[in-house]
Amino acid sequence: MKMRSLILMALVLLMATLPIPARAGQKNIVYATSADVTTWDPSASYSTELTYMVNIYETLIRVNPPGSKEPFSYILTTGMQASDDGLIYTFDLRKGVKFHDGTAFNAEAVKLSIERTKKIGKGAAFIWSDLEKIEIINPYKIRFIMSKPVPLPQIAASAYASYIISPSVIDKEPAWFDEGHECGTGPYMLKNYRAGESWMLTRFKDYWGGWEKDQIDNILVKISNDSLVKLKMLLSGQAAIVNAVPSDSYKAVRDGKKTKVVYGPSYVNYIVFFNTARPPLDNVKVRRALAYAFPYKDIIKVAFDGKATHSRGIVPKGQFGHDERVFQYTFDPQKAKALLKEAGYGGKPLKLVMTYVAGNQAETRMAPLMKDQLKKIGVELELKPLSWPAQWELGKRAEKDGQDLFLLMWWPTYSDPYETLVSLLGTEKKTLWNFAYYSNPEYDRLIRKAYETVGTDRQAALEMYIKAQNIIQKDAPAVAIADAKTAIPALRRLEGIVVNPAYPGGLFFYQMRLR
Amino acid sequence: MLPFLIRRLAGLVFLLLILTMLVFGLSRALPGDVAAMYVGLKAKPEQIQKARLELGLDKPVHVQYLRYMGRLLKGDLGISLRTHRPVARDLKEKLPLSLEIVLLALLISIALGLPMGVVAAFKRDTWIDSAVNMIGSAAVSLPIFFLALLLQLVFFNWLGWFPLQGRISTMMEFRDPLPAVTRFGLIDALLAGDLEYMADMAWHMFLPVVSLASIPLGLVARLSRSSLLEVMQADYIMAARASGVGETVLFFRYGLRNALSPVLSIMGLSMALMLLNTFYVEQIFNYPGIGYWALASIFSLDYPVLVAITLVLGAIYVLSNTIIDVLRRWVDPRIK
Repeated sequence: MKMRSLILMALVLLMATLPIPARAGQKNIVYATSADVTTWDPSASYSTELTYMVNIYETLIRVNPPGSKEPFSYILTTGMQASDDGLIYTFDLRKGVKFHDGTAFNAEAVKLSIERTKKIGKGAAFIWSDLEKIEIINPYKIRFIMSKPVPLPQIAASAYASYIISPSVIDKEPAWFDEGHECGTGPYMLKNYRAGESWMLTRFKDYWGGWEKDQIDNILVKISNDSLVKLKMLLSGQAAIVNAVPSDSYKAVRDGKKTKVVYGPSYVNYIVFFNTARPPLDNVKVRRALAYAFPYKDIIKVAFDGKATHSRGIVPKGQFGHDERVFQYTFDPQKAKALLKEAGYGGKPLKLVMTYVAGNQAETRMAPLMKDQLKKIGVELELKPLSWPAQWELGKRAEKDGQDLFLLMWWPTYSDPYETLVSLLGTEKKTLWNFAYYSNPEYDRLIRKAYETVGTDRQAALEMYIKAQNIIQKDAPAVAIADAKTAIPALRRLEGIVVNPAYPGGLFFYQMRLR
Repeated sequence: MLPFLIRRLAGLVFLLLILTMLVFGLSRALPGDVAAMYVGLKAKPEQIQKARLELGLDKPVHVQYLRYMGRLLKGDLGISLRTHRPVARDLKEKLPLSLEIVLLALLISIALGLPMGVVAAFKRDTWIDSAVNMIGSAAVSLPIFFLALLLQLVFFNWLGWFPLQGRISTMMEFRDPLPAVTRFGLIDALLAGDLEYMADMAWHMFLPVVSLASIPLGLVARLSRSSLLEVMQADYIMAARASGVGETVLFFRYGLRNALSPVLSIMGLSMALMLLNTFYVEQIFNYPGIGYWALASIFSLDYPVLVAITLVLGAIYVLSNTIIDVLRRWVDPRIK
C-alpha cells in the first residue's frame, strides 16, 4: 500500500511538469489583493468590494478623475438637467442597455434600485436622505425631486449606494447576493465566488459599450493578506496587478523590466484627532503645539515612499473644498516649544497616548516618527497599536479616559466634502467619528449651509467650506497629516490603468488593455 | 470497547460545551462592538442599533448563549461578521482543504518516520542511526514558519520546481471548477477523471504538506527508535533470544508491534499540532483552508468564525485521539 502511494505520488508529480494549455485567444489576468468582499449586495456595499462592484454594476453618471475636461461622464444616462433651485434633476437614460440576465434597463430599474437602497438602509444609504421622490416621466426619462438643494450629481455618482440593479432581482434578500449572485449592467459578470479565497469576473458580451481588441476577458481575483506573497506573484508574472505591497519594495517594482507602479490621486488622508475633552489637549495652545511638532516631510518620505502630499485641511487635495487659502501647519519645533510654554507646560513633562491601527502600514511607519519629534519638545507619546474594532471602540467611549491622540485613515463616500467635514468634526450626541469630541455650532451651521448651496452656487459653497476649514485649523481639534496617493503595482504589458480617487480602490478593468 | 466509546463521546460533548462557554464568553468580553463590526466601516448609529436588534445583542449574554446553542444544535454556526455568509457554509468549503493536507502530512510522517526509526534502532550506533537522529532532531526543532519560508526560497525562488502559493495554478482556475463530491480536491479530481487537475493540485500541496509533516516525522522517527530499543531489552525478548529466535525475526515480529503503541499516541497529538500549524503554513503558502481563514478572522475579530473554528478543532482533536486509542487497543491488547 505504501509503495502504491509513492508510485501514485511520483506519477502525479511527473504529470505536473506537463504544459497546461491556455484557452486560445483569451486575455486573462490575475489580480492578487487583500481587498476582500464584505457583501455582494450593491445596495449595502460600503467597503473594499468597491473594486469589483464598479465593474459589475453602474451608476447613472460617474465622477471623472481630477484634471478631466468635464466633472462627470454619462454612464447609464445621456444627459442631465437641473432646476434653478437645485431641487429637481431630470436624467435622460441610455437606450439599448441590458442587465446581465437580459432584462432591459429603463427608468423603472432606476427607481426600484434607489428605492431599494433607501429602504434597506444599509451601507451608505444615508446619502439619499434628502431624496423626496423619484418620478418616471417615460421609460427613458426620470426625475429626482430633492427636499433640499444638495449636490445630487455627486450623490448619483457615489462609489456606494448608487448602483442600478436589475428589476428581476430587486426583491432578493442581501443573503442571495452574498452567495455570489449579481445582476448589473457593468462590463463584467461574477462567474464564481469562493468567499475569502478567489472569484472570477468574466466579460458580459452584450455590454452596451461594446468590446475592442486587447480588452480583458477574465479577471481572476486571488485574496492574499500577505504583501510579500503578492509582491512575489507580481515579480514572477503570476499576477498582472496587485494591491498594497511592502512600501520599501515600490522602487524595485518601479524599476523592474516587466513591472511598473501606476500612481494617481486619492482622497485618502491621514488625520490625527486631539482629545479636546480633557487636559492637556483641552488647551488649544497644546493642540497647536503638537500640530507644529509633527515632521510632515519625513512622514511622507518614510511612510508613503514620497508619494503623498502634505495635507492642507482635512479635505484632501483634488477634492472640491480643498483650497490653498486653508491654513497649513508646518514642522516648526521652536514654535511648538513656545506654544507649550505659553500653555504652562514649558519644562513640565507631558505624557500622551496615541492609538492607531496595528495592521496599517502607513500608520505603523508614521507613529514612531511622531513620537521621536514630540520627545524633542518634551512630550512623551505612548504608542498604542490596536485592531481597528478595538481602536474605534475605545475612541467612541474615550472622552474622559481613553486616548489623547487618535490616528485615522479616512476616505469620503462621495465627491463632496460635506460628509468628511460633518462626520469627523461636526457635533455628535454620541461619538461615532468625531474622536476630538469637538463641538462648534458656527462650524456646524457653515458646512450644512455650504452643502445646501453647492447645487445652486458652487463658488459660494466653496467659500463657506474654506471658512469652516479655517475654523478647524484655528481651533486645532484635529490636524490632517498627509493626503495619500494611490499606487498600483502592475505588469508593464497591462495598460490603461486609470486611478479615479472618487472610487477608492476601484479598478476599472474595462479600460485596461493587455498587450 | 462500547463503554469506552460512549465514555469518550460523552467527554467530547462535555468538552465542546465548555469550549462554547469559554469562546463565546471571550468573544463578548474582548473589545469591539460586534454590531458595529457586522454593519462595517463608517456605520451610522441607527444602522448599528438595527444590527444589534437583528443579531439579538440587546439581550443578556446568557440568553445570547442559549440562543447560540439552540442554533448550534441545528447546525447553524451563525453569520460571519466580515463576509455576512453563513459560517457553516464556509466551514464546509474550507475544512476539507486543510484536512486534506494534514492527513497527507500524517501519512507521509508515518510512511517515512516509522521506517527511519526502525532502521535506526536495528542499526543502532551506526552512521545510519546517527543520521536518523540528526534528521529527526532537525525536523522537530525547526520552527514551522521558518521551514515553510526556507522551502519556498529553495524550491520556488532558487530551483523553480514548485509553485509559490495557492491551491491550484491560475491557468487551471480559468477553467470550470470540478464538481465538489467529497470536497477533498485530489479525490474529486480523481472521481472526475481529471488527472491534469489532480497533478496540479498535488504539485501545489507538496511544499505545504512537507512543512506540516516535518515535526510529526521527527517525532515518529525518534519515538519509534527509542520505543523499539526499550522493547528489545524487555524480559520476553531476552527469553526468546535465549531460546534461539533469530535477531531479525525477534525484531520485526515480536518487537515492532509492541513498540507501536507510544508511536500511535503521539500521532493523536501530532494531528492537533498540524491543524494548529496550518495557521502558519496556509498563510505562507496562501492556501485557502481553515488556518488561513482563522488568521483572517482573528485580524478582523470575526467572532462567529473564531468560535466555530475553535469548536471544530476541539472536536477533531478529541475524535482523532479516540481513533488512536482504539487503534492502540488493537495493537496492544494489554491496554484496557
